Amino acid sequence: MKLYVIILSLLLQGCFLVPCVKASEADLKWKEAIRLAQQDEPDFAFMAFQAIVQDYPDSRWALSAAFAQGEYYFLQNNLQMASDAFESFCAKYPRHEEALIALAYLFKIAQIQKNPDTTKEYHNRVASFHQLSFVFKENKSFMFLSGFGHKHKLVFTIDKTTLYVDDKLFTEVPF
Amino acid sequence: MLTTNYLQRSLFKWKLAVLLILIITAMITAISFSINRYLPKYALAYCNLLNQQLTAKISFSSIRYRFPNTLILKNVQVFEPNAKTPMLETPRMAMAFSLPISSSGPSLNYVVLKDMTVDFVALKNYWKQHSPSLYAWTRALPKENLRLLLSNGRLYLKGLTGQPISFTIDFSLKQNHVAAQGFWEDTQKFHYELYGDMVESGFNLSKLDVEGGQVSVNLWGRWQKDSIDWKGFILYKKFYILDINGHLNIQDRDLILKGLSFSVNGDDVAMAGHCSKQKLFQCGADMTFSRPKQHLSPQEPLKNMNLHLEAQNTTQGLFFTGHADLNFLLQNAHLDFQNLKAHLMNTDFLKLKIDHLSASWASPDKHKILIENLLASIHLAQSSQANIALSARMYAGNYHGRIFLDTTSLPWQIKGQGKFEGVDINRLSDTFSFLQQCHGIAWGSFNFQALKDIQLAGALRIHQGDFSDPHFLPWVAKTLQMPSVEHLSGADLYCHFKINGNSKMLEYLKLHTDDLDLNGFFHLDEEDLVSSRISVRFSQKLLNESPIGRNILGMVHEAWALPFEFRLSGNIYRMNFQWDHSPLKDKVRQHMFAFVERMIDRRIDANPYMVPQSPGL
Repeated sequence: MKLYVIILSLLLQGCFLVPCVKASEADLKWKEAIRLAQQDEPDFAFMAFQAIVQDYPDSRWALSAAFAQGEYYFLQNNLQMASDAFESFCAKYPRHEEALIALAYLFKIAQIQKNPDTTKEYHNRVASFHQLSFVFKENKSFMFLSGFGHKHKLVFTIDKTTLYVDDKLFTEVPF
Repeated sequence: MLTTNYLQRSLFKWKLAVLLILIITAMITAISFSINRYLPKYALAYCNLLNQQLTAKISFSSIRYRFPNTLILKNVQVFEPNAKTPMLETPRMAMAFSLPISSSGPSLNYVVLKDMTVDFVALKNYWKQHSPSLYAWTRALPKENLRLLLSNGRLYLKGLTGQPISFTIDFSLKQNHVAAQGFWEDTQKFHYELYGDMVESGFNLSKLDVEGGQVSVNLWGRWQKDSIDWKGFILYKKFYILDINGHLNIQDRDLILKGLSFSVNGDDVAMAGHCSKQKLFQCGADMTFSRPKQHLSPQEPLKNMNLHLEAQNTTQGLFFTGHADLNFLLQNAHLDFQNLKAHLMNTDFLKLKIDHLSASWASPDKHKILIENLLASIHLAQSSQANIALSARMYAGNYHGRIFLDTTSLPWQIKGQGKFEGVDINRLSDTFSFLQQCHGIAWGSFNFQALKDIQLAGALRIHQGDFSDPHFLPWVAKTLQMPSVEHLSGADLYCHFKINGNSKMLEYLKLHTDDLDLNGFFHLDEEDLVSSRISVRFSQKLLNESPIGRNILGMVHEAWALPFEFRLSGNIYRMNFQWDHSPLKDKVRQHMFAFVERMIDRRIDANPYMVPQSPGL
């Protein structure tokens, strides 16, 4: 009986140990990616973020790393790849507020590309994303720090959603 | 001596020849004279016999015999019984007979009619009344070789004062082989050729070709006892009517179209029906139209159509009753009509009158429109363009409008505009379910282009309405916790409405019941995004019904007298809401701590009310 208990406890420990090891590896990878981004090595940082998305898809850094991929392409002015990456991000995290930031990026990209159909599509997706009530407060906001260290702030009012990046107006979606 | 004899013999021969010629001439003159003397009498007697057989009156001004076998009649006229103007008239008719060499005696073998005038209306009436006896008379005629030439004929379609259609017919019957060719012209010239063989119990049509203008017809088939079969193809402008296959049965009283199938530019059409032999337009027909999948497109969305038509010929004219089922790519429609009367004024002007018309469709909600006394005047500006003026009674109100249709190319271009007034809203409940038990009237105008781009604008006044709208009222009821607002009875509503494609606007919206007064506007765009500003005053009773209202009444005793002003935005099914600055809000905030405000905000955010997805606002 004792032997079974010992074996069972060892198995259980083993089960818990593996994710712990994995989690710590994801943390290390994340730190490495952040360090590379801060050292102005965006290409290597991108590779690190990509590794997190591929190797640690369930880790707590997966969402930020996936967003950072789209952000990287956007900063490199590769708008088509950025659009694909943000679309994939929205599909993977449809109910997260970060998906609304990705949609704001997609709206901005469509505007830059002067594509009225996709601009309209992303406008509608942003306008339909939330259901908000402003009983006493007239606006609400959401903050997000991206993998490349940019401070994103979404401000919601009854008739528009505004995205600020590093306290500068990035895009405004009126509805 | 010899010379003298020779001269005498020659002179004798010449004298004999001259004498013979004189004798023959005298005989011919004598025969012609005696024939011409008795001919009118015989001809009149024969005409009287024909009059009795055909129930028609035949007259002529003179008749002459020409040696050897020709009779020439002048000013021949054929009248309907009791008619003053002839249905057929020719200034000269020549008839040639075979010489009585054989024992069978002379027979008519060549008839020439020049400058013949035909009154189509009179001839049609005569045919309708006497077709059985005419048919029997035709069948009893001896089957001799015959050639009939009608040259430079004139066919009057509408009385003898209108513009005639000229025609030529060259018909020949030789040993049961029939050949006919000729032309007729209206604005364009049509040539035709017909070849066939008369058989014992019918006729085999080898070929009927009609060419002219932009039409080409090629048909062949056979008439066997009481059964007619035909096949062929027709090319008309850009329409290719191929694989024609028809089968008709002639019964004692009716003509039965057992089946007629063909394809129009690859789309299949099939028909069947019947009509009375006595009243040709007393008929009924079923038609199906089906389009293969590869021909379907958003511009040509009709998948198939079933049409049933009954025609009734009365003393007041020709009336049609029927129904049609139309299946489109995304929706289905059903049309019912009673007493459709068509009246062709000119070749380019048609008047239609329909006593009752109902149209229902589902896209995906069911809608139904009832129209009475629809009058349509259709003017064909060109062969492919039509101007249509419409007027009708609709839901106790009146409608009138105009439509322009251009069928030059696919998809057809259509533009229209119209006005309606005094429409009884209660009767619209079949079309708009949320108007059930509403009383009131509506008036307005609309414009549309190409059916997909419809603009409708007007005003609505409803008295004692009963509202259960699926979107806005449930949202107010759930958000403000006032269940009785979900369904409003005895409401008075006034608003202006605009529908532009899929976007809808309600402006100058005023809704009044015993418990609330609402003013504002509500816009819904084609992407289901809302933009709205509403000011609403709730009664004390309604505020007391809601926990939120009771709290507000606790803080502001006169809350029922102050309007509650708010804005809506976002998707119709998940609308954002903002309580706007107003005297009521300011007074409420005076009684609240900031943390309570935040708490209320969080609570409402945590329990948003989502409008159930039900299209058809």
